[in-house]
Amino acid sequence: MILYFLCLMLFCVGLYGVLRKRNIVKMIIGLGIMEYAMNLFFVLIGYRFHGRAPIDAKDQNIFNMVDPLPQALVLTSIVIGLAITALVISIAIRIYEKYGTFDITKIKRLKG
Amino acid sequence: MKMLLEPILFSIVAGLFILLIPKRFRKVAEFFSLITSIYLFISAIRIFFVSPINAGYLYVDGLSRFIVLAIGLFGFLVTLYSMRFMSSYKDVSLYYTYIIWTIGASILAAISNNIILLLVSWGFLGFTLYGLINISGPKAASVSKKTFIIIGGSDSLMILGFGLIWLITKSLNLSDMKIDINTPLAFWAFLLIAIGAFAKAGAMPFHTWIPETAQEAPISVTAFLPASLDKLLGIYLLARLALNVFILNSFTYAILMIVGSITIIAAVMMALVQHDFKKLLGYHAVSQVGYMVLGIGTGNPIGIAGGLFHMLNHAIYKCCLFLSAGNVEYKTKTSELDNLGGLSKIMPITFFTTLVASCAISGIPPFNGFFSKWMIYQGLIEKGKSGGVLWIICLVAAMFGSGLTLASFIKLIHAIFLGTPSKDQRTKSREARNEVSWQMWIPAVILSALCIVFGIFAYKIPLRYFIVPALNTGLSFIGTWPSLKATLFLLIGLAIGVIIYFLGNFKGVRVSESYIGGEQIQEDMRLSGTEFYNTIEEIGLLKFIYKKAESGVFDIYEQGKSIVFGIGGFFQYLHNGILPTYLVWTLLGMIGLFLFFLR
Repeated sequence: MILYFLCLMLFCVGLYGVLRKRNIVKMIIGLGIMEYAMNLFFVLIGYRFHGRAPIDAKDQNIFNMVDPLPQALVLTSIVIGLAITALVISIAIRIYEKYGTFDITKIKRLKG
Repeated sequence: MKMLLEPILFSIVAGLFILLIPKRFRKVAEFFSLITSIYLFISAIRIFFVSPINAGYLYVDGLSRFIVLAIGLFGFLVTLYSMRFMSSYKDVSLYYTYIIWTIGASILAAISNNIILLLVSWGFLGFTLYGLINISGPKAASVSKKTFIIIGGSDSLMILGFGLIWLITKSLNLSDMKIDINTPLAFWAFLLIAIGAFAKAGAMPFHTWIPETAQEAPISVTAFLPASLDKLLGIYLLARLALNVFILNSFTYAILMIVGSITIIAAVMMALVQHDFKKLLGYHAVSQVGYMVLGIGTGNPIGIAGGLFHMLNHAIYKCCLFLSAGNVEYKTKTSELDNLGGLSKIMPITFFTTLVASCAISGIPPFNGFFSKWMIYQGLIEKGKSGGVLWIICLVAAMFGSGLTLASFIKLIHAIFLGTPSKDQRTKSREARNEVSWQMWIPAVILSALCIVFGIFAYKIPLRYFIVPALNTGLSFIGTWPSLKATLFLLIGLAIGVIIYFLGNFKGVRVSESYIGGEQIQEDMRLSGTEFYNTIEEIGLLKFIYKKAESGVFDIYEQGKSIVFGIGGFFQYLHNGILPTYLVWTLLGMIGLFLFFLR
C-alpha cells in the first residue's frame, strides 16, 4: 500500500511543479515527473511479488505470472511522453523567441 | 388582402433597390425614395378607406387604419424633408432604405392580426431604428447601442408576454382573444407586453433612449421614429391590449395611470432645465407619452379616445417641432440655446410653425393639443365618479405638467426666435438672411396646418373619422367646447387687441436700448432664454434629484449596465491571464466533478 502512496506523492510533486513554478522549463520538468509517476503506478498495478516474467515456452507451467498488459501500455506511454516533451519544449523555445522570457506570469495575452 | 400586402412587399423591394444605387447617383436615390413614399402614402389612404376586413393573418379595423394613414403621411413628409436636410450626409441610400423599410414594417405591425407577424415587424423596426441612429456616424454609436439594448430587451419581454398569451388562449390571432386579467398568468402577460409598448413609446422607466437619440441622431430620424412612428405603434399596441385583447381590472388601470402621471411630471421637469433644444424636445416627447398612457389608463371611452387622439396630435405637433428645429439647426449649425436668438426675422415660416406647434403641445385652445388634453381630463373626472383618490393626483399631475410644458416652450421660443442674438449668431445671420428651402418648410407647414384644423374642427374631422370608429362604443362628453365658436371669439379678441394696439399708442411706442444703470452695454450682454428657470435647479430637494438624474440613477440602462459590469468585473478579476491559475481552476473543477459523479 505504501508504494502506491509514494507514487501519489511523486505525482503531486510533478503537479506542484506544473501549477506553482513560473519558469516554463521547470513546468515541463514537472510534467515529466507526473508522467513517470503515472507509468510507475501502472507498472505497480500489474506487478506481483515473487512472480515471474510472462514468457510462454514449452514444458513450463505458467503460474504466479506478472500481468503483461500494463507493461506493454507503459512502453507505449513512454514513447508518447517523449513526443509530448519534445513538442512542449519546442513550444517553450518559440515562446522564448517571441516574448524573451520563460516567466509564465509575464506572458499575459489571455487577460481580457 | 392583396391590397394590404402590396405596399409591404413594394417597400421591401424598393428598399433593396435603393440600397443598390451607387453613391454617385444620389439624386436618383432621393427621387426614387420620394416616389416610393408617395406610393406608400397613397396605399395607406386606400387602406384607410377600405371597410373592416379580417383576413386571417392581417386585419384592418377602425383602430389600425387611422394608424396606417398617419404612418403613410409621416413617411411621406419626412422623406420630402430629408431630400434637403440629409444633403450633408454621405451614405444617403442606406438612410432612405431604412426609411422605406420602416414605413413598410410599421404598416405591417399596425395591420397584423397574427402575434408572430406583429413581433417580427416589431423587431424589424428596432433594427431599422438602430441603423437610422447610426447614420450620423461614430458619435452616435453608443446611443444607438443603448437604444438597441432597451428596445431589444423590452421586445424579448414582449415575446415572453405573447408566449403566455398563447399558453392561455392557444390561439395566435389577436382578434380571437378576450382574456380576463384576474388570473396571475394573464396579469403578467399584460404587464410584459405593456413593457414592450412602453419602451417603444418611451414611457417612464424605459424612456432614456429618447432624449439621447434626439441629441445625436439626425433630426429627421428623431422626427420620424421616436417622435411619431414609435409613439403611434407603442400606444396602438397598448390601446389594442386595453380595448380588444384583455379585460382589465381596476388594479391594472391604476398601474397605467401611475406610470402616466410620473412620466408627465418627471420628464417635463427634466425638459425645463435643458440647454440643448433637441434634448429639450426629446424630453417632451417622453412627457407627452404620459398623457396617452394616462388617457388609456382611465379605462372609460372618453379617456381612451382622448389618449388615442392625443397620440395622433402628439405625432403631428412633435414631428412639426422637430422638423422646425431641424430647420434652425440646418441654418445655424448649432443646437445650443445659448448661442441662438432673434431668428424670427430671418426664418418667419419656421417661427410660425414652431409657434403653432408649441401652442398645441402646451394645450392652448383652439389648437389640437388642447382638445385631446381636455378629453383626457374628462376621462379622469369620469373615472373619479367611481371614487378613490388616485384620479385627483393624476389630474393635478396632468394639469401641472401641461403648465410646465408651456413654461419650457416659452423658454424655447424666446431663446431661438425672440431675444437678442448672440455675437457669432449675428455675424452668421448676416451671411444668410433667408428662409430654408421649400422641401424643408413645406412638411412643417402642412403639419402645423393640421394642428390648427384638428383643433378647430375637432368634432367634424378627427373625432368623427379617426377616433370614434376606433372605439367600439360611442362618446359622451361631460363638458362642452364649441370649438368653432370659441375660435371665432379668440380671433375677435386678437383682432380687437391689434386694433387697440394700432389705434392707441402706435405712435407713442419708443424702442430703446436696455438700461443698466448708465453702464455701457457690452456686446455679449444679453438675455438668452436659458436662464429662465435656473432657480428651479437651485431648490434643495430638486437640486439633489437633478444631480442624481444627471448621473443616471433613474436610468434603467445605466443601472442595468452597472449590474452587468459588476458581475462581469468579478469574472474579469478571476481572468488574470496567468496560465497556472487556469490550470488550478480546471483541476478544482475536475475534482468537483469527480466528487459529484463518482461519489
